[in-house]
Amino acid sequence: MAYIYNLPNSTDGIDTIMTDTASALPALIPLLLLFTFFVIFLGGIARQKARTGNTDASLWAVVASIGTLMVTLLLSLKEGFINLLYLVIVITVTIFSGVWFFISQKQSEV
Amino acid sequence: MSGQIQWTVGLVLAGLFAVAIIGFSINYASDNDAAVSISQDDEVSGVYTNLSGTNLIKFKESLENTTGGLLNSSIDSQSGTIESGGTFAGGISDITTGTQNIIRIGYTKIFGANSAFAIFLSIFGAVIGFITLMYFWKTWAGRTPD
Repeated sequence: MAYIYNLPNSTDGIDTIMTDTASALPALIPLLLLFTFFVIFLGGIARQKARTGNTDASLWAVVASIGTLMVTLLLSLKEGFINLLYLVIVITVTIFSGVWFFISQKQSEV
Repeated sequence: MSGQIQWTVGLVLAGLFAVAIIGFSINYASDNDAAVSISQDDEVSGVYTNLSGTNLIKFKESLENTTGGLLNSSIDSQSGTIESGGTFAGGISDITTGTQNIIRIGYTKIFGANSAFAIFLSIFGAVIGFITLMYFWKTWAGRTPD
């Protein structure tokens, strides 16, 4: 039967299964990173709202973007998973979250 | 809006955060021989070099000059004002340049280097500089700029 995607093969080692999957489906890695970011961001905001009644969106943006940055740096170790453009975007979003966090006024500060 | 100390500390910490994130990514990639490294991108590396080597260092130096001006200023027995008006310079131009450098990577990388979006950087930089200036003027004149 015909497959929609080319099957990965492990002739050169198990790593090639992952890199072949990533190259057969280019949107896989960016969507994985988006998933990581939004799970932490939205989950943190929802739990904080339920627990304390307040939301601190800039704080959760920083936490989520640093978590995504760690996943991205791990993926950047091997050729074929991530290209430079996505790494730059993740770092830019992390820096912007930090700028937003430090500039915004906190309720607890005098 | 926040107070003068909060605002200045906020801008400085944002610059330090950017230096920390980019520096960590560069050193992580070089330690682990990563295939993809942020140091391969000229603009982000350039912003890192400008922020860490120029903007924040110059801000520190002019802040130390301001502190020295405050500690060492003297008032003569018959005059009502201190000698130097430069006491409240405070490195304002350096920290606004640092913030503009951070914003520049954002609009270059996310929006592309299209000149139509350059207005974002110039307006934002002007607002940051204006707010910082008003806070320093507030300390000098004793009125509130809020």
